[in-house]
Amino acid sequence: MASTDPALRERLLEAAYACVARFGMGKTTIDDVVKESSVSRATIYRAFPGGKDELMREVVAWEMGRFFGALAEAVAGAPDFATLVEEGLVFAHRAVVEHEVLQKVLVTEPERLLPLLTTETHRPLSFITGYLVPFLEREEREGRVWPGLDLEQAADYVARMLLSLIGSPGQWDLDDPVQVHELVRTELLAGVLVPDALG
Amino acid sequence: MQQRAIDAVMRCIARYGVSKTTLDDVAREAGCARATLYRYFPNKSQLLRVAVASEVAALAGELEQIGAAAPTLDDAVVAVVTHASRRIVGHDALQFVLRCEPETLLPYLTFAAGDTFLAAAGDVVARSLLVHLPPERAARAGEWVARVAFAYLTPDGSPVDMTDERQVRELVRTFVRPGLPTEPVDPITR
Repeated sequence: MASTDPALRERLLEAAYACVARFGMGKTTIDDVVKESSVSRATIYRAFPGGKDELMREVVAWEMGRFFGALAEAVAGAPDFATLVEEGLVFAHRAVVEHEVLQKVLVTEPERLLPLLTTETHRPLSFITGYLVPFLEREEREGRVWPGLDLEQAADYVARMLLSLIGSPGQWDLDDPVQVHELVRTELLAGVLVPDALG
Repeated sequence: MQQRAIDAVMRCIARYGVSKTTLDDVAREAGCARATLYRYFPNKSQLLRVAVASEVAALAGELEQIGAAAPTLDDAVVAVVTHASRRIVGHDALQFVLRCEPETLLPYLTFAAGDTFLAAAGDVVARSLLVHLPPERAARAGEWVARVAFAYLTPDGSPVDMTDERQVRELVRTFVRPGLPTEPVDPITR
């Protein structure tokens, strides 16, 4: 079976996302997506044979990809690992709080979104872990990582804890730079970087 | 009667899930008359609320004992996390719901509700660490340790088996313990 042209797929996902923003996940229909994208039903079903369910799953994965892509761009210029993590946490927290579609769906139909988010969690997890490893390798070359540390394990730990904090900050006020600094230099990275690298 | 009903509802949920379990199912499973059960629990939500609170309280009690009995902070954290993980993974009703009806539970565990849930879970862990830490440090450590446990108890597997004491010890020793402040909070800088 021929795979879908990426540009067409992108257009359909954008259209589906716009429909979700307007009508919500429950009320969005394939016909809404037809209208929004100007693509025929037949073509949409060829691209997403699983119909609306598959399309909703893919839209969630797509938007998560955009979210974490923007995050990666926002922190790309960080001078060191600790600063990267600090800036990443602050950016991601604000991005979640200010994400209108996410916040609306969380209030109106969380039961539709949350199972999809959790089953798709492995994607941002692998993405963040893969993103962090090269930065950790640089820190290791500069002698700033605890000796004998497994960098994949460390990146996995940091990624998991970041996702946890981004979803639910708990007792931490992530809008307070002093608290973020404290959190990153203690709980998050004290087991990863030597004290000199924590600043 | 209350404990019979709690045990019965958990057995029903492990078999049919939350949505499909009725109070009639629970009465049958508990071996009591429907009328008797309805006197104690007029509706399903009330029974669920009581059952969850009871299970959590039981776990909290176990963890407090385990934490107090551990010789060091590290031992306490490892023992508490391992025990809690085993109870969570081994809880048939909870696992059924997480696997087959996650939409019923996730709204209580994530985002804003997740903050409330973490505060409660953190409090349970904090109380298990009070023998080893000043109260404010215990509170902070409690939430972090709870976070770590949940972060590795993900449904689609994780690199660390949180029910394996040896693996938990390695994780705690390497990443968690170094990040837990233990000295009393200076009242002047508080």
